[in-house]
Amino acid sequence: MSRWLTWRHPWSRVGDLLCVLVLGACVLAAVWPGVFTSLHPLGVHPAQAFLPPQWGHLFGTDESGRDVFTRVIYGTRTSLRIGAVATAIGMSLAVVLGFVSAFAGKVSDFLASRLVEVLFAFPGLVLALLFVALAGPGVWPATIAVGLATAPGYARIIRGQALIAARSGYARQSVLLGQRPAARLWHHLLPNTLWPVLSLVTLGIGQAIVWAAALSYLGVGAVPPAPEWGAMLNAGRTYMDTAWWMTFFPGAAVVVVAAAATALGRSLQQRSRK
Amino acid sequence: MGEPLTTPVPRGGRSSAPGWRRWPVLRRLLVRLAGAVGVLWAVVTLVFFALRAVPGDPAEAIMGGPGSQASQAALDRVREEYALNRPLLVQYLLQLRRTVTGQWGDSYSLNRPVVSLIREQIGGTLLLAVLALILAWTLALLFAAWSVRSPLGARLSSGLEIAASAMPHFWLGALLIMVFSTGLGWLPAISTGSADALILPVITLAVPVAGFLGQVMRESLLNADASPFALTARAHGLSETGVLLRHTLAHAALPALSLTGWAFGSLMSGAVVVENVFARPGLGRLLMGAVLKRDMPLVTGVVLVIAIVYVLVTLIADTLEGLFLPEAAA
Amino acid sequence: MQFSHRTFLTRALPGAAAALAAALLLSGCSGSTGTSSNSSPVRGGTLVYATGDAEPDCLDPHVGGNYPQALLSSQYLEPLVGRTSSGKIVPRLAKSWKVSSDGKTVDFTLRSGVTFTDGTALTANVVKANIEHLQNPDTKSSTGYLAVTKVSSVEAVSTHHARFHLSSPDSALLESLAQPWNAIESAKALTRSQKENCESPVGTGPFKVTSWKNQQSVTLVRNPNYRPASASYGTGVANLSKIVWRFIPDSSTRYAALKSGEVDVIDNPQPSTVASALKGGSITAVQAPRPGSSNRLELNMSKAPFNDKRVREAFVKAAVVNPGITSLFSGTVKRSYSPLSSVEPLAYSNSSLFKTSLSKARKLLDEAGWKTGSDGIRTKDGQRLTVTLPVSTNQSIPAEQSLFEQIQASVKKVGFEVKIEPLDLSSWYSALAKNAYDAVSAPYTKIGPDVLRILYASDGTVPAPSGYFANHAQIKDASLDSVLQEASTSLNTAQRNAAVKKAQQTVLNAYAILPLYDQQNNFLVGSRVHGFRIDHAVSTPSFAAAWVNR
Repeated sequence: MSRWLTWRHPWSRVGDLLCVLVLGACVLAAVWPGVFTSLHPLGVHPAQAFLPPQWGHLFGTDESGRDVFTRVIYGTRTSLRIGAVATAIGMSLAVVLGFVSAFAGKVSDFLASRLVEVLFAFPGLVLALLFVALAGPGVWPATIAVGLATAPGYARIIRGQALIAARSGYARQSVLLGQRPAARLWHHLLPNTLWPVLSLVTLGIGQAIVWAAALSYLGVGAVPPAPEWGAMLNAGRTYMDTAWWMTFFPGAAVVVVAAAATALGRSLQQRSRK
Repeated sequence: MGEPLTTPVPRGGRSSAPGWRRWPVLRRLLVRLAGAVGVLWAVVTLVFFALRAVPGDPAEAIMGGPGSQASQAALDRVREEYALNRPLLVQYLLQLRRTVTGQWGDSYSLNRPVVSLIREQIGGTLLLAVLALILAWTLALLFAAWSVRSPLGARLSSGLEIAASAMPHFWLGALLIMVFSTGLGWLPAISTGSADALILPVITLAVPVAGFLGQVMRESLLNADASPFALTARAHGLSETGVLLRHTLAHAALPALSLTGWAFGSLMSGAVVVENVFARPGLGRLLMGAVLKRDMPLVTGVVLVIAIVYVLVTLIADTLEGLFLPEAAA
Repeated sequence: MQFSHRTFLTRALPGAAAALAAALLLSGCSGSTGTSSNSSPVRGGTLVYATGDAEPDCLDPHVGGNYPQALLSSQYLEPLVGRTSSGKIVPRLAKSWKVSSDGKTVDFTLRSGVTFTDGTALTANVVKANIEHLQNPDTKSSTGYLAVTKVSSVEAVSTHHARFHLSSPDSALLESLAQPWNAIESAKALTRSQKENCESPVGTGPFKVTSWKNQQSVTLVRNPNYRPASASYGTGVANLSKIVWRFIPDSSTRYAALKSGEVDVIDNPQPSTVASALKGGSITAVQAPRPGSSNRLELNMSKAPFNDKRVREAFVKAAVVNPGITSLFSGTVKRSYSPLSSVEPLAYSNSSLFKTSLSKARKLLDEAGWKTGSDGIRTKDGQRLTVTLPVSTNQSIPAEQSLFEQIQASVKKVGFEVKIEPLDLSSWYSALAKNAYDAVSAPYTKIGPDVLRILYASDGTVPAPSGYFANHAQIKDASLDSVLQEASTSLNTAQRNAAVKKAQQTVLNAYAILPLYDQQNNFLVGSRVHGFRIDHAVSTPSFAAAWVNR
C-alpha cells in the first residue's frame, strides 16, 4: 500500500493504544463517573465561583462554583449519548436511503434522492429548530433533531460509495458468478460501502455534539444545569474573557473524543484493507 | 431551447440510443428540473404542517404573539381574514396557490412583504456563504494535498481537520472576535458595510465545513494516490506533483463535490449562528426569528428561497459530477 | 430604604475617585446621571448605539408596548409629562395640569409652539387622537392601553387645553402618561396605515426616524425644531446630527464592538464588564434601575404544591439567593426584598421574611405532609415535590439563569425538585397560558405603584383571549383587591401610600413571591461620548444633550 502506511506503521500501535485508552476512559466516565471525582456535578458553591484551575479544581470552577472537571466527567455520558444516538439515527436513515438510491432501481433512486434533497434543502439547524419547537427543548429532542439534520449528508456519501463498490471488480465478478443479490449486498456491498465511511461516523459523533451545542447557543438545547459539553461550552462563552477555563476544557473534551474516535476508526479501516 | 447543452459524447454502447436519449445531459437536466419542483413542493408542505403542529395559535402569532392581549373579536377577525377557520386541507391548498402565484404575503411579525424582506436580506447571506464555500474548499484541498505529499502533513492536517470540524461556530466566532477585534484591533467585530467586516464571519463559517470536507477529500485522495492508475503514472515517470494534479485530485474531488449540496446546507445552518454572533443582517437571522415567532409566511418564504438556491447549487454540482463520472448521476 | 441609586460617574474621575463613586452608587447616593465633561459640546457627529434588546416589530410604541420600543421611541417621541429620579412628575408636552376635586376630570394645558417633525402643531385634538389610537382595538396596544383604561374620553376644550374624563379616579394617571408607551405622536401621521406608522412614527422628540434596515439598524437624525420642556431634556436642538441604533444580539460581540470603538454606547452588558468599567478605565458604566416591579420569582398559588402557604414559605426559606447575587452580578445589583423596584418611592421591603433557614423549611414541609423520598425529593400522596420553572431565554440574562440554577441546588437540600425549562418567548407565553408552571420570573415595567394592581389583583388572573395574564402568582385575595382599589382611586396621598404599603405587605406575607433583585438598565459608554443621560421615566437613555469627540 502507500508510503504513508509503511511510515505510519511503527507508531500505529502506540497511537491505537492511546485512542483505546482515551475512549475506554470516556466509557468508564460515562458509566461510572464516581471513579474520577468525588465531587458532585451540581454542587453549587457561590463563594467559590470563577476559581482558576488549581489543585482540588483541576479545570477550575464555573459561575456557580461548580467544579468544571467534575462536570466534564459527568457530562461524558450525556454528550457521548447525544453524539452516538444522533449519529446512529443519521446513519441508519442514510444507509437505507443510500442503498435504496444506489440499488433499488432508477425510480427508487430518483425518489430517495429527492427525499434526501428535501432534507438537505432544509438547513439542518432550521429542521432542528422546528423539531424542538414541536417537541420542546431538551436533550432528546435535540438529539433526534441533530440525527435528522445529519442524515442527508451521510446518505449522499453512502450512495456514492455504494456505487463505487458496485462497480468494483469484485462486484462484477460476483454478478458473473451468479451470486444472489442479498448475498452480494451482505458480503460485499455493505462492508465495502461502510468501511470507507467509518471515519465519517466517528467524526460525526463530534459533529453531533457540536450541533447540539449550537442548539444550546440558540436557547433550545440541553436543559440546565445538566452537565453537557455543548451547554457548558455555551455557558462559558459568556465569561470567555475572564474565565477561559469554562470553555476551554469542555471544548477540549469534544475535540479529544472526536479525534480519538476518528483516529481509531481510520486505523481499523486501514487494517481491514491489508 | 431544443439545442443540446453540450455535445453528446459517445460512451460505450450508449451512443446507439435513439432520439432524445442521445442527449444525456439535457435529459438529465429535464428530469432534475421535475425533481426540483417536487422538492420545493415537499418543502412547502413540510413547513406548512410542521408550523401547524407547533403549539400556539396562529391567529395570536399574527396579532403579535401571546403577550399582545388581543381581544377575542380581533382574533376572530384575523381567523376570518387568513382563512384560519377553514379546514386544514383548504388552508394548505390556499397556501400552495399563494406560493405558486407568488403571493407570499406579509410577515406576521414584521408587517412587511415577505418578498421585499427576503430581497433585502438574501445578498448578505449568499455573499457570506459563497465566500465561505470557496474558503472551505481551498482549505480542504490544501490540507488534502499536504497529507498526500508528506507523512508529517498527513498527521498534522488530520489533527487540524478534526479540531476544525469539532469547533462550534459560536465559540470560534467569539474567539476570533476576542483575538482580532478586541485584542489586536485589526478587524471589526460587527458588520460595518466595509469589506474587512466580512473576514471574521467568513472564516468562522468556513473552518468547521473545511474540516469536514478535508476529511472526506483526504480519504479519497489517499485511495486514489494508491490506486493502479496513479502507480502506472508514476511508473511512466510522471512527477509526484503531476500525479497529484492530473489524477489524484480529480478523483478525490468527486466525493467532495457530491458534498457541495451538504456543505451549502451546513453553511446555511451556520449562517443562523454566525449572523447572530457578528450582528449581520441576513436570511439566517431572519429565519431564526421567524421560527421563534411562528411567522408562517416568513418561514415558508425564506425556507423556499433557501431550497431554490440549494437546488440550483446541487444542479450545478451534479452536472459537474456527471462530467467526471456519468454513472453516479441519476 | 433608599429611593434611588443613580450614578454620578464622570469620565474625568480616575481610579480612586471612580471607586468612591461606585461605593456611593451602591450606597444609593443620588446625583445627576450620566457622563459629563467640562469641555464645551461639539456640534454634529454620529453616535452609534448598540442594543441587545430585541429589534422592535413596530417603532410606534402604542402598538404592543414593550421595553425595546421604549428604548428607541424615547429618542423621537415625547410624553405629556416626565418623571424625575425621585418620582416627581414634571412638565413635558403639557406645561401644567389640574385634577378636579372628585378626581374624575384632569385638565392639561399644552405647551404652545410645539411642532411635530411632519410640520403639524401640537394641539388638544392631537392628544385626543392619541388616546383614541391607544384605545382602538385595531392598534393592538397592550402596555399603553392598560395605562389608560380609566380614561373614558378626551375633550379638546381649546387649542391647548385637553380635558381627560375618567370613569373613576385614577391616582396613577400622571405616572401612566409619563410612560414612553403613552407618548404623543402626530395625529396626521396616525391616520396613515399602521404599516407606515410602524416604520416611521412622527413625534416631537430630539431626533426623528429616517430609515429602518431590518435586523441591522434604525437611523435617527436630529430634529431641527426640537424644543426641550426643561434643561433635563436638553438645552435645545440636539448636538448630534445622527444616531445609528444597531441591533447586536450577542453580548460578547456588543462589548467587543464597544471596546474596538465601532459603537459608542451599549446596553445589556455582562455584569462582569460593568464591574470592570466601574473600576475605571476609558469605558464608563451607567446604571439605571427601572421602575415597576422588582425581579422576582412568582409562586403559582393556583395549584399544588404552592397552593399551600407552608410550602411557599419553605421554598422561600430554603432558597439561597444572596451569595449568587454577589458573585454572578459582580456587585452590580442589590438584593431586593420588595415587590417593587427600589426606585419606586413607595417600595416596601421586609428582609426578615426572607432569611434562609433550612431547618424551618424542613419543619414546614413536614407539617404540610411532604415526606422525604429515597432520592431526597419529598413526596405526598404519590406526587413529587416538583417545581416547574419556565425561563424565557429572551428575557432572562445568563447570570439570572445561573441564579435560578443556584436556587434549584439550594432548595433541593430540603426536598424540592426544581425543573428549569428554558423556552423561547412564544413557548414561554404558552406555558404560562396553560398554567404549566409553578414558579416564574416575569419582570413588569410600569411607572408607579399602580403596577401592584396589574400584578396582584384577582382580575389579573383572568386570561385575555390570547391567554395572557399578569398575575402569575395567581393570588386571589378579596381584601388585597380592595386595598389595591383604594391605592388606585384614592386622591388622598397619605391614604394612598398606606394602601400601597399594605398591599405590598400582604403579597410578601403570603409568600406569593421571592424577590431577587432590582430590574436594572446598565449602559456602557465609550470615551468619545459626553453628556449621556438617563430619562428617568422608565430609565431609557437620553441623547438630547449628548455629543461626541471628533
